[in-house]
Amino acid sequence: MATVITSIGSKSTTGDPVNGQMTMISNTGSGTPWTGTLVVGSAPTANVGDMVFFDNVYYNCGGFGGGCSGPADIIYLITAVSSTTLTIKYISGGANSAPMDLKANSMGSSNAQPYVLRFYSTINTWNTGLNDSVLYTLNDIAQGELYKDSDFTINTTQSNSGGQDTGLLDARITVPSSQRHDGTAGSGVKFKLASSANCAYFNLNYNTGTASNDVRRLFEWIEYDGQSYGQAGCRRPVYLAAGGSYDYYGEVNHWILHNFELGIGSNNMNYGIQINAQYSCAHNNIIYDITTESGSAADGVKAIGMSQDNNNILICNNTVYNIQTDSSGQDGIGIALYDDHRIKCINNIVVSCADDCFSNSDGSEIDGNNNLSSDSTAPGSNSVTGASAADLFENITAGSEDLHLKDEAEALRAGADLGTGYTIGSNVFGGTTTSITTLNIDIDGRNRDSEGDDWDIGADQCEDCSEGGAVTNTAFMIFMDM
Amino acid sequence: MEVLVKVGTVTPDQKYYQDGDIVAAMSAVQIEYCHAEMACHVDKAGFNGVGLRDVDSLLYRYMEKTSKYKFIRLNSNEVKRINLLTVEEDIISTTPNADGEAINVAQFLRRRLVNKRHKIFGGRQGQEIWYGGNAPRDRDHSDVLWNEIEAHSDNLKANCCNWPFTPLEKSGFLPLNCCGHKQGEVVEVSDGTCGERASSVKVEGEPDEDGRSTQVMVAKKKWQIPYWDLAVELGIDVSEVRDKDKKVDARSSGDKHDWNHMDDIHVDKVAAGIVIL
Repeated sequence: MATVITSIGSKSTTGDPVNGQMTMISNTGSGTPWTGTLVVGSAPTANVGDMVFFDNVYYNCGGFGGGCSGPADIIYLITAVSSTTLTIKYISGGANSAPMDLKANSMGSSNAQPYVLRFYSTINTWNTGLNDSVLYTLNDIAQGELYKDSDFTINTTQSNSGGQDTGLLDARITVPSSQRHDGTAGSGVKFKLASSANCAYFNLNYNTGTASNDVRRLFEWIEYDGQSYGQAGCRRPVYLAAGGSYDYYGEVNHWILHNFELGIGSNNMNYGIQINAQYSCAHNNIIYDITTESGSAADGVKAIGMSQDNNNILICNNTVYNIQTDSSGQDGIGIALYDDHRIKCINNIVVSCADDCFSNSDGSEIDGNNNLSSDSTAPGSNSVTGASAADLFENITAGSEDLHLKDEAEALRAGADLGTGYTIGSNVFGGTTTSITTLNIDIDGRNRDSEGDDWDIGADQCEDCSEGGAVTNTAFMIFMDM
Repeated sequence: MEVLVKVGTVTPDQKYYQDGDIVAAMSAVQIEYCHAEMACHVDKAGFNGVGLRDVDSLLYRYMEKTSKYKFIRLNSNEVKRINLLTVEEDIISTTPNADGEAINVAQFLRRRLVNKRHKIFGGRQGQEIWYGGNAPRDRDHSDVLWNEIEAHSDNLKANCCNWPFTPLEKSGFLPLNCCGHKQGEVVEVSDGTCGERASSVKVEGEPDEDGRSTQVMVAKKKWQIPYWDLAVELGIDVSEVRDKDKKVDARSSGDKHDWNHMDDIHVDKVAAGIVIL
């Protein structure tokens, strides 16, 4: 089992590379595919998952009398980086050669000079590659890493649905820590909806395959901006339909999802994150400014909701703000779940909704605790009701939103400690053995568990914030009044 | 528009990618914005002496042309917000306005400036400028943006006409470009059409428990380009296209009037009976 990392970004041509041509010094390695280390003249900008690319080079250069085959483009995958040393694996093109055997001219008189480029330019080509046996073998973990070379403008569904034939354990789309957002829009890897005519959603989907094992799937640390385009006929920006057992569970975490105007037709519901499968988890996401499209005949919109009654679902530590509708006859709901002891709703903030902040989908109360709402609907024990967005968040100014917690926010220290996991039935969500990620990393990357924090409600853990608190202030005010 | 076509088939099951499927389709506007963002990238902007971004930087010009709101700090308490699309202005302060909007500007900027990729501009502290929201992304706005970029840098829009497919994508897939055609004229293909050409085939499934409709995917991709029958039109050698060790880039760099017409080479797999509903 290996984790195979491949990069995704637009610095993917020799005209605008991750790193320009390098001078090779030496290499050590062997095998088919050739695997080893390549030492270059000066430390390049290179990342695990990028490719070392030889552009139109010559190979199989003979000894006596010279002469080479080629030219050809030859690609290696970078699997480790240490200063001037790159650990690489041959992927395709020309011949399975040691890089130092690749030459710049047909006479083989000078070494080739490779570039560093991204491996893929789109998520969908990464997804197509999940069934490529050159890259992956049984029980590998495929990890696509997004780079903020430019914003990703998308016009069609971004799929995480391949790999069932190579027999992957996990198919993960993530963002390297250096490229992640800081909890506010525009600060990290960002996807933008191309136009109002596009229904482009992130799809974690399960397909049967020829391999014996199934695939767990993940999208994380992504900002997706709907740009307030009115999307007639579009239902959701994120679709969690991967789960069916813990072997192929689906997860989305640390997203910033905002400015969507969704407009699926009459007798239908729109969703920010639509959960349509068992064994699903959405945690530490920030969702704001979601509404129904102008003129839509939809029933309404839910920031996080289920389209059918399933179980083994955990919704925790999300922050949801400003879920509205185009007309008064529609529902604008924050989190709507079915009542089931194996569907849990914990540590979520939902404020400023057109209707209920939290809503059951089948007539009884959501199973959860330590939630917070601006109305009276936060379910379960230790929940907070009647909060206001202005008192919770750093900044709710349109165009400059910052939904980090502020001093004296009622969410401070009011969350349940989920430690390093939460058990539903016999499954540990956020556990180190059964889940893909842990629950305890906040929207800024702070580890609530290792830092020994008293958990806040929502996606942000604000240790710098002072609790203040109504009790202390009230006592002070009473004293002054007397 | 540019498209990336799947080469090779693993299984005849249409729920998998099939030989000739359109995996991705990019509009000209989408491609131009991608290159504009790389040219104006925050990593190329640098900091001035007070740790902010310069107001004459390419990044500043990019933000000015692609944002909806501009925020200008006026003093320790107030920020002017300008809607760049309507030129309306208002003042945001620690006192909530009628919509409940308020800002502690010092706290807001303190958090932003920690990020080494921050986009806070200005010549001196106390007069910071930043942007938010989005201007529309369409042909007109792309042209205005590129006029600005070309006027203040060596970047040329004419050199930014192709999606930056990686070498692996070029050898494992087939990149093509084609144009729209309407009443004898070449027309630009919209983002909506591009998205539709890269879409899957779905049918109505069983209603959910609330009686609402559901969808079931029956084919991974709706549209294909049968490149094996179009070698002459596309100017390709089919055996080279199918050789994963060879890079074939069939995108034309010539006059758009000579490009293949989208409707001549794209096949709707449902209409053609390849996918049965």
